[in-house]
Amino acid sequence: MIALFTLALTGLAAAADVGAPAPDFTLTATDGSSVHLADLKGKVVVLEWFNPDCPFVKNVHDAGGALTTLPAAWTSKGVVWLGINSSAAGKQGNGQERNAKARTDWNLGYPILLDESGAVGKAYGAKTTPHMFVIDPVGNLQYAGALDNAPLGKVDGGGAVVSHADLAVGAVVGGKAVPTASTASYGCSVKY
Amino acid sequence: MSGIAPLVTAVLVTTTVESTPHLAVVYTIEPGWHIYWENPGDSGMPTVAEFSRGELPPSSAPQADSRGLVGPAKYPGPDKFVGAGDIVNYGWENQATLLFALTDHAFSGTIHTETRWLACREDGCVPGSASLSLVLPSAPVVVDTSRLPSPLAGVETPTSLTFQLPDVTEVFLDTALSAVASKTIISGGTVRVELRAARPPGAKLVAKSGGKYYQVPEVP
Repeated sequence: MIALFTLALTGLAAAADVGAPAPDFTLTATDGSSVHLADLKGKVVVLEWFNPDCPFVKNVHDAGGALTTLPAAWTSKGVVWLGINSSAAGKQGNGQERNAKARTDWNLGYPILLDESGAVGKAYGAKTTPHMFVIDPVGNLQYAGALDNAPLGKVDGGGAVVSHADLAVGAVVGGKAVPTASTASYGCSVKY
Repeated sequence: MSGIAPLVTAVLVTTTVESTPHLAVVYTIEPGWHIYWENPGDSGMPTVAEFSRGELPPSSAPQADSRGLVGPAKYPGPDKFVGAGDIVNYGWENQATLLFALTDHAFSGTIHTETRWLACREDGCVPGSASLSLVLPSAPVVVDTSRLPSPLAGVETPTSLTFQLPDVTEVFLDTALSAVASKTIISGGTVRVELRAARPPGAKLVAKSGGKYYQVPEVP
C-alpha cells in the first residue's frame, strides 16, 4: 500500500463532504416561496441540480424519464425533494420565468430553487445537471453523485440500470448506510 | 445552436496503424464545440462506438455477433477545458479519431457501428449519434494518430499501480494529460490505475475521495 497525503491543490473548489453537515442555505423558489435547509431537520432531503435546457435534464424529465416518477414516490413518504438551478444571469436555463415554465411543462410537484449567484452550488461542489445530494434527518450529507449509471438512458457497455440516488434515499429513509455514498456525476456542466 | 449543419459528423474508415489493420471513426466537430474523452472530467459524456457484423445496429440486433471483431477503443490524448466554476473537462475540438484494432483480420462483408457523443460549448450541450456502415475489405485511409498514447503496444500490457483509499470517485493526472490515458478499477477501497504509456516527467496522479483530493506519490 502506498501512503497518501492531503494536498492543497489550487483551483479546486471546496465541495461538501459525505458524512459531514450539509451546507445550509436559504433560497427562493420560482413561486416566490423561501426554503431554508435548517428548517427541514428531521426530514430526509434530496437536492437535484437542475437546468431545464440541458439535454440530460430533459432526458430524465421527458415522458418515460427516470425522474418522472421517482420524486413523487419519495415525497409521498415524507422525503423533501428540491431542485436547485445555479445558472448565472444570462446563462443557459437561468431565471424565474424559464424554470416556472419547466415546472409546469414537466408537472413537477417540488420547488425549483434559484441560486443565480452559484454560492450554494459551489458550497456543495455541484458540477453537473443532474447532480444529486441526499441529506439525512440530522442534516448530514449521505450521498453525492450521479442520478444513476445511465447517461441519456443508456448504460455504458450495457447491463442493468442502477439508480444510485434512489438506493441512497432508500437507505437513508431506512436508517441504513448508503451502499455507494459517492459516485462521479454526469451531465451538462452547471452554468455558473 | 446551429441550424441545419450538424455540430459533429462521424465517418467510419479503415486505416493501418503500426502495420496492423484498424477501424477508425473520425469525428469532425463544429468550431467552438468539443466532444469528450474516455474520462470526460467533471461533466460531459464519453464518446463511444460499438461494432457489429452486418447491417443492423447492435441495439436492434441483440444476436449481432461482435465477438472478436475489434479491440478496445484507443482514444487520442485530450485537451483540458476549464469552464466557469472551475469545472474541468477533457475532450477534443475540431477533429478526433477513435481507433479500434480489427482483430478478425479475415472478416469480409458489412461492418456496422453505432457511435454516441455529447457536443458542448460553454453555453450548452447537444447529444449526437450516428449509425455507420462499411463494407470490408476497404482501402485504408491515412488518419491522424499523432495524439495516440505511445507506444501503442502499451495498450495491451499496461503498467499499473495499486493504492487504498475509500470512496474514490476519480483518479486523474494533473499535468501533461494529453500524453497518458489512465483507467481505474475500484473495489473495496482498492484502486488500480493502469497507465497506457509512460507518465510524462512531472505528471502527478491525483485521486478524489469524498470530495477531497489526494496526491498519489510517485512510485518506482
